[in-house]
Amino acid sequence: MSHIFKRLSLSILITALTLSAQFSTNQIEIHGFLSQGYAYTVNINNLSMDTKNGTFEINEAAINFSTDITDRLRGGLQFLSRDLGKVGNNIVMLDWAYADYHWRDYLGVRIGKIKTPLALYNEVRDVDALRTFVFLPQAVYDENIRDFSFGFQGAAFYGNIALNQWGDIDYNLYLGTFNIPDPNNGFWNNAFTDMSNLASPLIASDSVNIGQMVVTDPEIRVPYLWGGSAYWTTIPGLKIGGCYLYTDQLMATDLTAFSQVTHSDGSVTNESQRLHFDVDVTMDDYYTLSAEYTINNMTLTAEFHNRTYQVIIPKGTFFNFNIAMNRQLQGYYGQATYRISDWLEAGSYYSVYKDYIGMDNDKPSWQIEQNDLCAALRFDVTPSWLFKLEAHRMDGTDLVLNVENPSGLKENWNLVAIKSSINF
Amino acid sequence: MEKRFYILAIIILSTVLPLFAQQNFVIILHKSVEGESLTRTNIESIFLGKKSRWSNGIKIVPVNLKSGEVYNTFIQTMIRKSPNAYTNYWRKMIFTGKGVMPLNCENEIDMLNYVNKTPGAIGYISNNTETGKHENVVVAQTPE
Repeated sequence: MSHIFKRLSLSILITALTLSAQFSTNQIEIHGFLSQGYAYTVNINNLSMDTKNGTFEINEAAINFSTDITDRLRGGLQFLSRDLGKVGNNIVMLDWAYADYHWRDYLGVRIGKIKTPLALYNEVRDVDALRTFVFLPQAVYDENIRDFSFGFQGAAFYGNIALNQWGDIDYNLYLGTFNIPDPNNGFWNNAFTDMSNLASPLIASDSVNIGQMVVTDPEIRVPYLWGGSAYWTTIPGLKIGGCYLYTDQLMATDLTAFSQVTHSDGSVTNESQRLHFDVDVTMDDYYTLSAEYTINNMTLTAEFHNRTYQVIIPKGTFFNFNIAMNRQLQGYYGQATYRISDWLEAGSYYSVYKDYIGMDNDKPSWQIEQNDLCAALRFDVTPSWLFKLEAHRMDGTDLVLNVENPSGLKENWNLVAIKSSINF
Repeated sequence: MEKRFYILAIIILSTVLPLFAQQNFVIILHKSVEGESLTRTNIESIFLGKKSRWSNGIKIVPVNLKSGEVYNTFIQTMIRKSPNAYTNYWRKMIFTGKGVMPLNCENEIDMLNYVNKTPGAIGYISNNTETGKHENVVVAQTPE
């Protein structure tokens, strides 16, 4: 199915560009952005970055092309290159590319590679110019799962339903699959590492002490995903709504377990064991509820996010029965921004993230939650060039990666970040 | 304490006062859509790209001034957004491929010329500006 979507997207892209060349009455719109940041933390390496030593490995660059192919049909694509520590590494990728048939204001269809309409800002999470802050609230916009949530390949129905004095509703309904270029990097690599951590206690015993687990030949198949979002603009400036996403991911890998085996005569030997490991991960309760109120220069935002998934290890992998485990994560934040002048904007948010039903229940409570108090200033030097400065006070480390902090974690830590970007 | 009160008062006033900004503009249309009923909600939907066709089926072509007092007042009173929030709204559409920002005209003469030659066009000019020789431009009843 994934291959079908890939071919379909490529066909649409080529068709759109060919048609746009043939119907040369409409010009091609070209836009782009470029940003560069710096982050420094005390005590903790944040996300996948070496922030304890200060890092410039935060950037995004994109360029897009779009055109009206006919009166109701648009086509376009955007290339994106980004870096966030060990993720991205400025490999240029197709960010979105789709044909958009706008039949009526209340119904249109998009086909191709599409940004996932999750929460208020997921579709534009890479566009630094659209927000006051360097980092979006991680409680809802978790950078660790960005690869999972940023886009999909398939089809989306969308529209705007006018309700006259009751405002209007923007909606999206979509179906498709993920295009996963490399399961050895980013979110998917972390997911396989989690898989190996799951397997470790299952193959350990009194006489077998499991040491390192190595993931080899990881594969992911996403048969399908579907979801939707709806946002109601009620009284002027107030937008409320939510989104929902369902996916089923079939993950398979070979695991090599390096272990110390204690034999009956008391001798200990180092052994390795290679085994095949299948997991079915069902994301069955992924939703975000959102409210945003804008009154002239002030914008107030609050969002609540829930993510529940079930991990099933099918029978035959380790035992002659299925093993099922659940995990639930929740996050929420409140945010206020205020445009003080044409060139200055200030903002602050407080976000809370918590691992409610985790797989690491033996951890102290501050390691399964993370609270973030952020204050930021944004300076618009020109309409298309800006500069940001922000500070965070963190309590907890649930979003921090253990692998980036081998010397241990600290409960309280601080982060400062600066960033500059241009767009056209 | 007193200082905090004044800061809070300034923030509240600067937030609320633009809502009461006096309308210093009139809405202009290409005569192909003369007689279309215009409400503030309609105009907001048009300039946010949510309404794309007039009732006679002609494609709506909204056009903005690039900047200035008339532009600021129009955006604040009709769209109920700050100019900065309005620009960001369209940047979001552009960088997700969902739409193209309305054309920006450098000045009112350019806007009159554009509306005059573009069926389905809608724009706005200062209420002191005459439409003059632009025979395809009609002034619409501006909603409060």
